[in-house]
Amino acid sequence: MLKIKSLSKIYSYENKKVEALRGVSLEIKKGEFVAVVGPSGCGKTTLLKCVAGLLDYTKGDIKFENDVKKDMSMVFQNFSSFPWLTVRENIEFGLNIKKIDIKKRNTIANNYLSTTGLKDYADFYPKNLSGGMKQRIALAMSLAGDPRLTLMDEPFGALDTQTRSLMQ
Amino acid sequence: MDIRKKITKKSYILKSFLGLFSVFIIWSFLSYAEIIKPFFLPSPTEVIGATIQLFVEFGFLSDILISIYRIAVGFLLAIIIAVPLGILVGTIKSIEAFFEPIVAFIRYIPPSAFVPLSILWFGIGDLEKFFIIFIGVMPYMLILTADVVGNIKNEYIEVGRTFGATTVQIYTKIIIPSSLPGIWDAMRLMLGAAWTFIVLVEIIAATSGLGHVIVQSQRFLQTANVIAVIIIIGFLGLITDYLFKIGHKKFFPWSEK
Repeated sequence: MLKIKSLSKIYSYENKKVEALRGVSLEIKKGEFVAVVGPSGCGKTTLLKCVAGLLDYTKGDIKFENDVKKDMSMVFQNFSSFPWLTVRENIEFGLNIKKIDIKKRNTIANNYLSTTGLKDYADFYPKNLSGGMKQRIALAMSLAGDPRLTLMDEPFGALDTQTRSLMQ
Repeated sequence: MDIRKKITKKSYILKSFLGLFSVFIIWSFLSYAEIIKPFFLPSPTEVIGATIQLFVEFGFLSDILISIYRIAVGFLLAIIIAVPLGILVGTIKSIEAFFEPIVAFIRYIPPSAFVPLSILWFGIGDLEKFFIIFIGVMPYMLILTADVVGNIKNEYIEVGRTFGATTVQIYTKIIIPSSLPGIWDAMRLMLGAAWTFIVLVEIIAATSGLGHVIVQSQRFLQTANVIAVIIIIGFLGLITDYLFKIGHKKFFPWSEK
């Protein structure tokens, strides 16, 4: 489904160059769950952002099979939800972008509101929710479009140990 | 007094009235005790009398309305140009590079410096007033909008991209909604400045409006009238500021502020 070959990424800050990735090769097949582990600053976020198309890489190649590139989502380390949208509107965001009709959008949102336990908070704005609840919105947002590939960048990193275990 | 500790709404309103009342007390003391001569500082009673006279005998309401009309048109024109341009300046570097020196150049010229030129171009009618308010508000509003937009979290835009949002969708569904409260606050700030510009321009050259009433009163040594107009301007500013505050809560219930 996804093939990464000899991927390199060098950041340039004024006259300094920082090598974030050097020759990373990886293959992910359909149905596989892959975790990239390493100390902070080792390039995990850079790798994910390159795969998501948010960063240009310096060398190497990323290949997607069967248009997976158009059908993936990402959960970010520092993002949980859009504050100006309600919980329901947040979950529907990706579906709205893809112009999925309102009936189907509502059905999908209702489903994810139930599975994430946010049904009673559908019309709440994120500012009124706890950190764990906000992260559940992020998860629901990314899964609502039924993507073939989901990239997650330490989605529970900012949570306390108890909430993190619960979410995992 | 704890830093950033919230107080109840009741206590907030009470303290606000207390602030205004303390100014009133100091003014009353200085004027009624004649510590400052009535010619320079008339008493509240005299100013209330002058205000009633202005409304009843001198058609003061039409002067208030004409100043509000001039501000509204000039301010709206500035907003219509500055906000969309500010959004583009805050998001596209080449547009920022093009407009930044022009805006910075105009920004450092006080609007009062444009008054003689604007009289030459537009006469002393409403058009000249619109122009001065426009030139005074537009560059600042543009910079403030660009700043608000520039401070939007990059993650918001990245999330939009991962969902496959087009550039137009990123503007309409992410950049604009997330920056609206900040733009609203900038408008609130600049409306205060617009009041300063209108009074200034009406003092220099006008046949109607609040600034004109101030100048006329000064010529006839009617200090009470001058103070009455100043207080009315203050109250109008206070009302518009309060309306903006209510608008912020109503339009952006999601905002953390």
